[in-house]
Amino acid sequence: MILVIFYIMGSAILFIPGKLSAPGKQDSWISALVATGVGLLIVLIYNVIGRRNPGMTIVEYSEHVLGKWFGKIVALVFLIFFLILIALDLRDIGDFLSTQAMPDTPIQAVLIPFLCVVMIGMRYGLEVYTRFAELFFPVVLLLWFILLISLYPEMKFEHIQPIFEHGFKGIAITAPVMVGFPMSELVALLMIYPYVNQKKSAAKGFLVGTLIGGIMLTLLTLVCILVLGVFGTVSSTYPSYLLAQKINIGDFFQRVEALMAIIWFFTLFTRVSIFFYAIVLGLAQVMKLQDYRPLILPLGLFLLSFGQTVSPNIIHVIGATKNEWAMYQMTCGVFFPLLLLGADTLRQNRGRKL
Amino acid sequence: MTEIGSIVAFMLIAAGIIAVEVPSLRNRKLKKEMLAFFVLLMVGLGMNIAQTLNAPIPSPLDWIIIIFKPFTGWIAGL
Repeated sequence: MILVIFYIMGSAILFIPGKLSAPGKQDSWISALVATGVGLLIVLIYNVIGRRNPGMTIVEYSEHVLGKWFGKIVALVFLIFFLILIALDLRDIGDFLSTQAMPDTPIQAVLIPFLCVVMIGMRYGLEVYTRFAELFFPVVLLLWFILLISLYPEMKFEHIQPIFEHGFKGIAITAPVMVGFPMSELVALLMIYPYVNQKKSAAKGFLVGTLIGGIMLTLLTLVCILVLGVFGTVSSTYPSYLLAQKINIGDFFQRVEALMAIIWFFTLFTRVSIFFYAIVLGLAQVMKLQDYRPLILPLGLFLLSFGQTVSPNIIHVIGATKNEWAMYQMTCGVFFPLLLLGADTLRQNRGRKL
Repeated sequence: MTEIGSIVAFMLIAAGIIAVEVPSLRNRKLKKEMLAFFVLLMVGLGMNIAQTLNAPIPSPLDWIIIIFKPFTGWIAGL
């Protein structure tokens, strides 16, 4: 459950307010709420898939359902999806640090230590970073509430008025952005689903985690608009970072944007680890390897370069991850899982008749 | 000059990775794993060297846009 919350919050925590507010204006927090609802529905689908085949990751499942060759192709589509996502996440962390915190440091100097830590965690296995997430969850939650509460004096409620100015159409255009990012990306968690110890609580944790993560993002979007206004939120690349800079209580408690960066690092680390694990494990399963560990270091080397070349610059990232991107994510995160489920149901029905 | 230095550094990193992983793979006689390992390593090394030499590497995001462009137009028309 905690892993899910971290997963949703990672990277989305910095980008979601800006991305949603661009088309949704002052109603974007409603869109975030709608997207959370849709995200819950998506997770219900994932839970059904997880229950259908206990002990199988989505890669094994697609091969099991669609046969050897077609199944491998679908599995590769998932893996490429994860690969692009992990590269974008690495790119985010590199861009963020090299634009906001350390402008003179080359992006490699950020990526290499980060990847090294991820790879070390990976070699020790899944349990290590799950424990990490559990350990740091209270810290992140605490920092989060400190941020929100200390922003209270800065909130101006006229910023979200008039509510529903753009009607349902505005919300309908905006919600898919968050349905795609981060909700559809949850499909990567189907790669670790079979390894959860308590199978019963896994499904529940998945749902609750999605709910909490979605609500946290909704609150963040709301606060961003309340404090910064629509224009301020849209025009900044990292609205929530700017938000944390705004905190000023009695000229004493101020400049705490590092807190936001810390939350972000923790959650992003979890995200990158999950994708990394999903890729090496998925690759090993597609090729029927016995051990996924030898693939970790070469993949790290690959990602060091791919993280930088996935997109030439941040303007390109923002431009490319607009409309088509949400479509791509929904294709991978919703359409393909549904396809698998449908094919599986067909197979079972036919099996019963024979 | 710095390019050559970076390329040598990447080669050394790759050699280091080989030194770490290959003995264990050889002992366990995992042929397929060895193949996958080397293919992935070579792709990674190639990407890094290409990037150091400022070779134009296409962004996969552009391909996604090309694939999904017709659909967004269709949805906006609704």
